[in-house]
Amino acid sequence: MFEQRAGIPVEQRSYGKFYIAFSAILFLGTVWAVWDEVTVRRPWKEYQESYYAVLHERLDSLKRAAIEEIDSTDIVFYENALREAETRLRTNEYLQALEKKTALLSELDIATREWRFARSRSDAAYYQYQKTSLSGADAAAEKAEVERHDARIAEYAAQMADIEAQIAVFDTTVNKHQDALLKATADLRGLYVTADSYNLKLERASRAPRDIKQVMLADFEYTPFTEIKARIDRCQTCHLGWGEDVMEDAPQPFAKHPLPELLAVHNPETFGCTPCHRGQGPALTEGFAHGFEDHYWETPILKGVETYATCNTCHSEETVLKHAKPFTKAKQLVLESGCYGCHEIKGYTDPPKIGPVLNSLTSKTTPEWIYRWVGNPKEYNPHTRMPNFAFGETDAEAITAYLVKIGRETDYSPQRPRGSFAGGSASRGKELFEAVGCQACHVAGGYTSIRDERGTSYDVAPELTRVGSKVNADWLFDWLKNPRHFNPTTRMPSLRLTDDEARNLVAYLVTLKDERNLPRVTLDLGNPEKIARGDALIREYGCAGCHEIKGMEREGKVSVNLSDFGRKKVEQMDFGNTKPLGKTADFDYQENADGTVSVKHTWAGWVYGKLKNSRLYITDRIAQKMPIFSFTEEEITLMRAFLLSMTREVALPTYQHDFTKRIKDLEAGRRLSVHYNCIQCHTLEDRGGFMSVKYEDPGLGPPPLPESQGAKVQEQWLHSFLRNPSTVRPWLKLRMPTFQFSDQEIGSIQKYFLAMSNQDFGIRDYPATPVEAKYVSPGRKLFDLYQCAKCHPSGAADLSELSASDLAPDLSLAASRLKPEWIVEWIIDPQKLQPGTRMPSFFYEGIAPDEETLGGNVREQAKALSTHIWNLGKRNR
Amino acid sequence: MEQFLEIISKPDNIPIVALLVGVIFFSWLAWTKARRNDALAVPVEATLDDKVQVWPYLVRIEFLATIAVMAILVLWSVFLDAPLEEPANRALTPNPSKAPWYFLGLQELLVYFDPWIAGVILPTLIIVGLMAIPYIDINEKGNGYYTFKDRKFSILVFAFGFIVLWVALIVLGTFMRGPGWNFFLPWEKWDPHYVAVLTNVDLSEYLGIATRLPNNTLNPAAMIFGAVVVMGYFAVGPIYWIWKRNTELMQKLGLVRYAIVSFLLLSMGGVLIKIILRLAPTALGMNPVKYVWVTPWFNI
Repeated sequence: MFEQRAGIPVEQRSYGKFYIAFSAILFLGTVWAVWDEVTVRRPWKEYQESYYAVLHERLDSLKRAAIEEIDSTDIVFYENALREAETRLRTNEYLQALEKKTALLSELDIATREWRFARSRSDAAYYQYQKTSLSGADAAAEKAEVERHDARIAEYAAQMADIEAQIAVFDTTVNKHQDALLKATADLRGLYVTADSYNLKLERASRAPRDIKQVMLADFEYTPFTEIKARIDRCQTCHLGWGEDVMEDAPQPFAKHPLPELLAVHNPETFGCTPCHRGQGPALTEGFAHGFEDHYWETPILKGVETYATCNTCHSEETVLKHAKPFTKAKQLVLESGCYGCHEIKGYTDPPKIGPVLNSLTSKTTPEWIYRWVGNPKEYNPHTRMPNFAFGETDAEAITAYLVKIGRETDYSPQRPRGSFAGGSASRGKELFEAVGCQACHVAGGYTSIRDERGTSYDVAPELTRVGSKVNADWLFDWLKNPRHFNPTTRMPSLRLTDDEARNLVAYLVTLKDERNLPRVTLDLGNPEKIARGDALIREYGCAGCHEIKGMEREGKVSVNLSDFGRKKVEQMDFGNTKPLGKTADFDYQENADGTVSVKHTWAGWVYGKLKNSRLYITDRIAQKMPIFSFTEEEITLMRAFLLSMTREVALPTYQHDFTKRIKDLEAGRRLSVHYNCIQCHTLEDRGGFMSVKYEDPGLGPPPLPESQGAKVQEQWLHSFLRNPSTVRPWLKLRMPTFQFSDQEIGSIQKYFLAMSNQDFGIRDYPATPVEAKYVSPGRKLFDLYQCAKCHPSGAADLSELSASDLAPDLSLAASRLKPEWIVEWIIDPQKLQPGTRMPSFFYEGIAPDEETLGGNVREQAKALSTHIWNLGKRNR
Repeated sequence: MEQFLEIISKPDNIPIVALLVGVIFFSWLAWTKARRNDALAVPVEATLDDKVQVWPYLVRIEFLATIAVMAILVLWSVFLDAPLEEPANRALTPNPSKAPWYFLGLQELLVYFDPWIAGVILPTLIIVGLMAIPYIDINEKGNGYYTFKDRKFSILVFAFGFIVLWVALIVLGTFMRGPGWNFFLPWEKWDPHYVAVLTNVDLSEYLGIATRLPNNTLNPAAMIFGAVVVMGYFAVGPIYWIWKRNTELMQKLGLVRYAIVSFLLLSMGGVLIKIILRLAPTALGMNPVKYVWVTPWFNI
């Protein structure tokens, strides 16, 4: 064809077919481009259509259900009433009155118009009068004119008043009938209130515009070039049902958000979705918006617990986040595992070291035990917090040599003469161990319920199952009597044991022997070369990050800074000899049959492998020093979410949660409560309270510490209680230990409690609280009437009749312990201050059972009772 | 190989694939037409005496071409989106960091030369050299028809400069330079952890002349050696002139034109020689050459 064409002279060739073909392609291509742009690339339009279809269907069925629920007899009744009201409008009485009223109204119209005209004429005449009189001419005629018009005004006004009075007479009749109709109509409509509310929603849904829903945060963050960058967020274009109750179980993308209470403080309409969920806000197709299809989008959407990682964008300084329980737990794990001992971590600059002091060890245990422990602590105690450094025999011996050397150099010796521990009863010791509270932190004798309740892979205090083969009885006696004598910074509290109690405990604990038949080892500990090697190893492996060791006081953190770890690129990670797992696998880690390990070669996969086995990526060339922890699956996932939160990219200060004095106080208290393990026994801000599993009768366990605790107790009392706990509930065998807090620590705890109750720290003279005379005698009367003393026995009363959880503290202690305002609020509604308390509310639905005393006023009666309780204590004082 | 296919099919690499196909096709076209003409006594183009008006006969074809190009662009835009990458971040640069595709040849030269030479001197020489072509080309043959026989020198030099030193380096830079700017063959995976042998030595060290003295100052002997090698190479120009100055061609060319041509040609060849000195020794189990001539001011 083309050869034939080449024969035709250029001037005579026709290009029409080419023209038509190219133009058609261009035209169709353009049409295609437009179609592609408005439909294919905008799937959100379809989403919106189907969302409103689903919403319409659900609202409609709810509406129909609401209508069906109406009692049909009610409908008949109200319809009849309506019909009856309508017939009343046809009675002669009504019609005549209406007719007359209408006639009078038109008369009133005429009169009103005349009155207005008269006023206008009067105004005009007055103008003429004033003008004439100001010009100095005689204005008598004009004045007369004004007066004439004023007289007409008065005349018409009187006429109007007369007509209005006549109308009022008929109005009563007319309104009577009309009101009846209105009421009947409203009554009938009233049956449909629920249905009507759905109708309104339906109407709104049908009118909702189909458009892109965009949220813009003009000043949320910085670009990598530290310029303020706006965040555009269009997620709600498809995720339309996040706040719609009826979409609770709807399929994605229409489902309701599972945490409405969280959204109450992070409103997506103003805050958007990507600040928490990440993803590519401006994108409008699923793959790109979620960031998986866009290889270059650095922050794809977060799923599961990892979503909480973004909490740190604004809340990095806080360790307890009310609506982010898993993340709170992650932060607690980091705090308790002591990651900060080796790594620099944002928000964990200076917490106390988590391990015990390693000086004077020779007075506590034997070199053989130290040697075995250093080699692998998990062998002796699988639940220890100490991770396994997997030192070989030579290295373990060298470290033991160093520890023994400094142990011999320190000058600790028990306060009592050797042998003072002798003479205890092991069986009584066991009883005491179980009753007094040791079990809260220490596992011994196979009792693991509290550990299981806590659910962490580690114990916060050493398991004592083999302690008899570990420690020296003289040391143990001294330790139990006063732990701070051996270690001035220990967290182990004193339980105020008497010498006999301590002897019994020692007798019990030394029976807990290591049943394993371990071969004897001979250690060469005096060798200076070995000691030097031990010194070097301790420094190299950063033991001083967790332990206080003589001669290592100035050691720094041995490992990498984790403050930007969440943004580390997978290319920067070394996977050692692990095999890659397919990208589509829905797990990150797999141990193969041939002994090798496969991990997903992603950030998440690397971190999982590292936390699972920190020596996983070791190769012939790359040494790894991080010790092996034994985190559970859940802990690994939580810690990984925490690591993901470690980025230098934070929101601008306007979005940061203000680190106010109150939050600082809260934080200091939270950290102390984790450090001293207060939360092991007490529930604080929804954390902890693990010990309560031990007690079927919650009244025998440790009392909870609700958020109102700071508002409850007097500052002075709390101070002396923390310093030296006094008995509040004498029926408890469990003891609040003496932690030997410093004044600063007591202050922190007090401020923590006060901050939780939103109160400020202040000194008050509680004994000087005035007592109003008018409450004294009603108070006494109500105290007896409401039988307060039944559960609140005074000092000498017999307690055997009641179960422990029905018992309550002696009220004579109240005046020196409780805040007077709190007593009033407590009496009014105990459940509000401490949900689940056994204290009954006497004022059900705000009504006092005794309607006479103080006029039956609830608050007055509570004040009277509190006055009486206050006086009870004063007598004691 | 899978990764290589992924790379060549990336939207951003389409121009380079098109360039490759285009260069091959047009080179082949020119070559066949030149072969045909070279076999004839009179080129085919010279026998065509039928001339037509630009308007409308040429313009209408150009108009059709415009429509076709627009149609292609519209369809292209439907199928392929703009290849955007991650937001710029000075704290975290992409690996490999690559220049726009048309500069990848120059970026590749950075492997062989210092930035000042690869990034400033060589591009300047390219531009100046291209500008000089009309003034140094004294061969009137080859106007208006395809030929190889009549313009062997110019065609070979141009083909070498454009296809080898420009297109081939772009293709190399795009498809074979992976993370760390390491060289990967098409069937090799771009491994960010790839470890390359780094044993470059200076040319003088082949002869046992250390570039630096024990006190870390430059060894004058090495500097002199480098100067001799480089200047000796560029001396080929004058020597050839002295040898052939009386030939008809040289007379016609003149000393100035000859000096420019020979300098540009030797520079061009020098680039290739340096590339070979860097790449070839590895294949022979020797250390690659880092510099030929080290001075305190520049290194070649």
